[in-house]
Amino acid sequence: MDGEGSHDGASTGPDRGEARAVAALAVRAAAAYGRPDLSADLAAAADRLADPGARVLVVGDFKQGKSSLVSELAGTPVCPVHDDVATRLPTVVRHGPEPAATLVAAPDEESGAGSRRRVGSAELTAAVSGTPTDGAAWSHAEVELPTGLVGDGLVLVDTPGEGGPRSARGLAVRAGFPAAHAVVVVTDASRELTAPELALLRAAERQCPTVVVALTKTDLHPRWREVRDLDRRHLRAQGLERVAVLPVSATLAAHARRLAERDDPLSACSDALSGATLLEESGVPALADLLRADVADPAGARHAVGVLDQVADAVAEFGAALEAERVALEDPERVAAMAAELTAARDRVAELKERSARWQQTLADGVADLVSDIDWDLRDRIRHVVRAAEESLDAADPASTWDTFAPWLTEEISEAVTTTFIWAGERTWRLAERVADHFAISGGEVRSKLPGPGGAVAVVAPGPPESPLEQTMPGGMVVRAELPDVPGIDVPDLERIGWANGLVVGMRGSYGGVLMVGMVTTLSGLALINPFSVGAGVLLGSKTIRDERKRALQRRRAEAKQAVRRHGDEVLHLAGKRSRDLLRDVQRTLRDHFTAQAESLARSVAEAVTAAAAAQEIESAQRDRRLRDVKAELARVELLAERVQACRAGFAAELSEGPLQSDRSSDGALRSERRLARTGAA
Amino acid sequence: MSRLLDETRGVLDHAIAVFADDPYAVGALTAQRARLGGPLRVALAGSVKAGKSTLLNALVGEQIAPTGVGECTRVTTHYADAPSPRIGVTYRGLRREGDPAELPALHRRGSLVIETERLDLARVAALHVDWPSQHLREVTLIDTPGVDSAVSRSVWGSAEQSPEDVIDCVVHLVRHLHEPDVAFLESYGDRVAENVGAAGTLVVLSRADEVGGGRIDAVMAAQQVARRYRTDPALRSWCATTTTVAGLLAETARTLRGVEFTALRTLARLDRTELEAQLLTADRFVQASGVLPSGTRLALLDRFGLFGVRLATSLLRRGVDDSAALAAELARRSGLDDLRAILDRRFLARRDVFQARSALLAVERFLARARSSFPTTGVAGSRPSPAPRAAVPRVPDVAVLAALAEDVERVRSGAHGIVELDVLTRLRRRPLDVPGRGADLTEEAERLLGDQGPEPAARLGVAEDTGASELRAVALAALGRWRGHAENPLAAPETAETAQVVVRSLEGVLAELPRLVGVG
Repeated sequence: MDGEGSHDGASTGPDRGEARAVAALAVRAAAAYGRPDLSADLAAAADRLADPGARVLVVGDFKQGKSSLVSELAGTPVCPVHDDVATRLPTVVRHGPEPAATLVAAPDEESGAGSRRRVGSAELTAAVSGTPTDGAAWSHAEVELPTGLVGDGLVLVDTPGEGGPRSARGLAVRAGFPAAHAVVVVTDASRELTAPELALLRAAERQCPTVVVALTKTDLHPRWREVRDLDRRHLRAQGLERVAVLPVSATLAAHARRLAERDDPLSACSDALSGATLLEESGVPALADLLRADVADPAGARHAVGVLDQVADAVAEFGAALEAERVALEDPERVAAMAAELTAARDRVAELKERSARWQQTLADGVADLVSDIDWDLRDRIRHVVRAAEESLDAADPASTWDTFAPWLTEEISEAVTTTFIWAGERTWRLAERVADHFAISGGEVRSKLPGPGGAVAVVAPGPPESPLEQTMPGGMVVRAELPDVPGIDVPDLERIGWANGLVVGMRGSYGGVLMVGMVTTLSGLALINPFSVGAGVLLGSKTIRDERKRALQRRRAEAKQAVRRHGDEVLHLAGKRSRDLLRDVQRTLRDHFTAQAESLARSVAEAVTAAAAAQEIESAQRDRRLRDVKAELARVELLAERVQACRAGFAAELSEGPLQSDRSSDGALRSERRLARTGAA
Repeated sequence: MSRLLDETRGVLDHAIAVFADDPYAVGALTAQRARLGGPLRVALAGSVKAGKSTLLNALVGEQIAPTGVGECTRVTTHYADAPSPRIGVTYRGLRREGDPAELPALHRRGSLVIETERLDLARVAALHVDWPSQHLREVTLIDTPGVDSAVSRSVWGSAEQSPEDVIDCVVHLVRHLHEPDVAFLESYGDRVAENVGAAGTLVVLSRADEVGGGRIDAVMAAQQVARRYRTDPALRSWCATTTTVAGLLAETARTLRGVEFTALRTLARLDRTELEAQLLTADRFVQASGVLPSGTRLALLDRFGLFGVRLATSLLRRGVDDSAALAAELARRSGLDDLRAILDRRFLARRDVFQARSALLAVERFLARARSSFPTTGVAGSRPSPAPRAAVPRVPDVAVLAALAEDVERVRSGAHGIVELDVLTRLRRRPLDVPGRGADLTEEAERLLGDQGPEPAARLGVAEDTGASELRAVALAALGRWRGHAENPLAAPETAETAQVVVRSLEGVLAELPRLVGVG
């Protein structure tokens, strides 16, 4: 947490330090009041406050300066940069206790586990630029850094150059969009946005909440302002007003960083050349601030609200026992009434835990519905793709069009799968919300019966899901839907009639012709091989070849169609399993979470009952002293509850402000500038 | 070589008669016939802002193609030599009323201004700029819009190329040689190079000055990159060779102005550390107070780029002291001289062969189309959803087609230059398959077939001033070796075939060499 001090000024509204402080206090209080179960829960929640893990994907064409930009955002050269050799492996830069680099291999098909290996910087460079020293096939590299932008909970992903929508690599990059919280599209200032880049932006904008264009290499191109304006015009023409264009110069930022490290005497004497001025001029801090404000802070706030809700509930619960004791001590007559109320509450809690509770039913029904809906949706989409594919195969020769056909099909199918999964994500979110509502209604009823200061708190954090494939479930649990890897289509065995083959077929056909006509003409005294029989042979032979060609085409089409259908089935099989897994996962998470809540509620009620009963048996001499103690404790708990509420209100305001702002401002640039102004003012 | 052109004209006349019913074919073939013997048509292709127009200006030595910050070339523009400046416009389909047939040729500060505001660019097929220049006497340069443009339609991507888009050679400008560039060559290369083939394609790593952030050794680094890619198998099949050019620097070097030289000299006299601090970024350079006003500084950056200013001032410091010497040194370092040499040696030296070959290939294409009843110029739409293509007009009789095909074949096989080009193209895609020394042998075969230039010295790989007797000796030695390859019964058929063509080339070289006087 020591890295926090550097940018505390940047986050204006809610106070993260306060959030952490109240969470820690609540953990200690829960332990002190004899609730180790709550204490453990709260400690886990407090840990989550530190790392919201918002993924920022840095994408763009080859050699636009992605790796340099990621390095400068991270504040240290993590991604190798080269004149010519381009990045081959995606590099994930995330928060960690100390600097470390790891190479990760794709999960083995047999064992299902990926291998990981810690490496030094030289080996990392070699592997990332595509010349691994050990020849192993790594899928990506992970770098952990203790400080910098990643310390705020951002995960930066440096991707290999995006080779257009049709390339395999472009597809891989796009497949990451739904899981990302933000996409930074890197384009250099030497030229305006190109058609493939705009296509990339459109895809990103559709699937990802925050999209930014980073205009790199502004140090090299004097006319970058005009390029930026042109880019904005292109974005407007495409209906992408929300996308901000930020000029950056990684070279300049690197220069500033080196100056700061070296502590150059030049920087001391000349203000214009000081590291801080250069860094500011490079535009990298502005981009970092934007990412922090648009991505890390909202993600952090969402987490914080969830965690603080949990804290508030816990505080209310362990306050309840104290309050019951106070009531019993102060007013023995009311104890009987309270005992009745508490017994009623205990019954309700027991009900909550039972399968017949409303939230349980909502959850079971909802998941069943979802499974069938999503399965149908997936089938329907893939059926449409397969039908379109069959139509196009009927219209052309698969042997000649296969090369363009196969990537088209792969792209369509993966698009279909992605769409279904995004939709499934939205639906699960709604379901979770509904279940939480139902639980809150019955749970809130119990809580209202508990004596003490606990206010009714909404269980679910407000706001839409943060990214289509990742949801924070009530209680701060993160459920991630992993998109299935859509396999490429197998190349079917497309039979062609080659020259030699054609010759054999032709000979076979002509043989009959020669024999037939030759036999007849031998009757008129000619030889078996004569012009007539040869002519007939040629005719029949060429007809056989033509027929054979036609039949081969039919066979090719049938083969290709079968391959397409097989591929569709394969994808359906994989994606169906993955989607059912996802839903079961959600169901289990939600059920466990709410059951645990019901249990802790039951324990609170029980404690309150015990406390009230115990209070009645205390002798009157001790009663006053005990009452004073209890009142003092209660005051402390109330103070804590107030602090939690105030802190939560700050984060909730930040959250509700975010989406509003983006709705109001039509110009993305304006919005980002305003954010900058706001952070600057603070 | 003009016999070859005459024969080709004969074939074209024959073909025009055969395809008289197909206006598209007649148009294309007539265009082919008309330009035989004229300048070589070299197209500059590449992605947006690859530096096509800048390189064109550098090659001509004048600022005639518009260049700027945004996308400048929106329509295909032909630059040809003519007695007086003129800008003609041709349209897709018929010219409508109010469409100008000509644009005014305006000059502004030494550069030509093409005002396209009044044009409906979607319907304009091409602009034809006539410009009096000795550098356009032998080549017609064709500037094309970027293939990945966000606004304009690419010529290469359009379904029907207009008949006048015929080209003999292609210079592909790429900014880097990574997969997308190779993919670009694969997807557009076929179409661009329909008449050209790998032997007529040159890949240029443009904007070399921006490699590695415009360091002072950027062009050297880029040259190393180009050298590495010259042997890259993925690229090999698409182009004859690869070179590097810093387009902006080259253009400025060819059009260096006195005021610019004076401004640079002023800068070079500044204190070194101060200048370095100013040259840290473009913005700082423009805003720096001191010797030059910021307008002049911005103009310098526009013309030289940050790298160019760094290079020019360092050259001036090192004692280059007049404008002409600076221009020459900048042109040399920009890689322009190398590029011109390659164009001269590889393309211009056998202009007739390229022209005849592309004309004959066009005829063959129409023949194939008539036979298969599938047009070859049509391509699938942007989504590769394969759909049937439109049918062609009436197909001529089979016998007539056969006669025409025979005619084409007669000319083709009779002209050794064309055979050489065909073999070269094939070699680029499939190197010779000889165990152990395939690469070396392929390289020698390519050289002997005139890949580096058709002169005897270039073919034999010896210095240009080598005497005739030595040339003869080298040629005879090579002839012996390649006869061996040609007659080797164990060699693959393709190798033997290639060897036979090489033998014929060597015989041609020997026949051209002056007879030895005295004893040999």
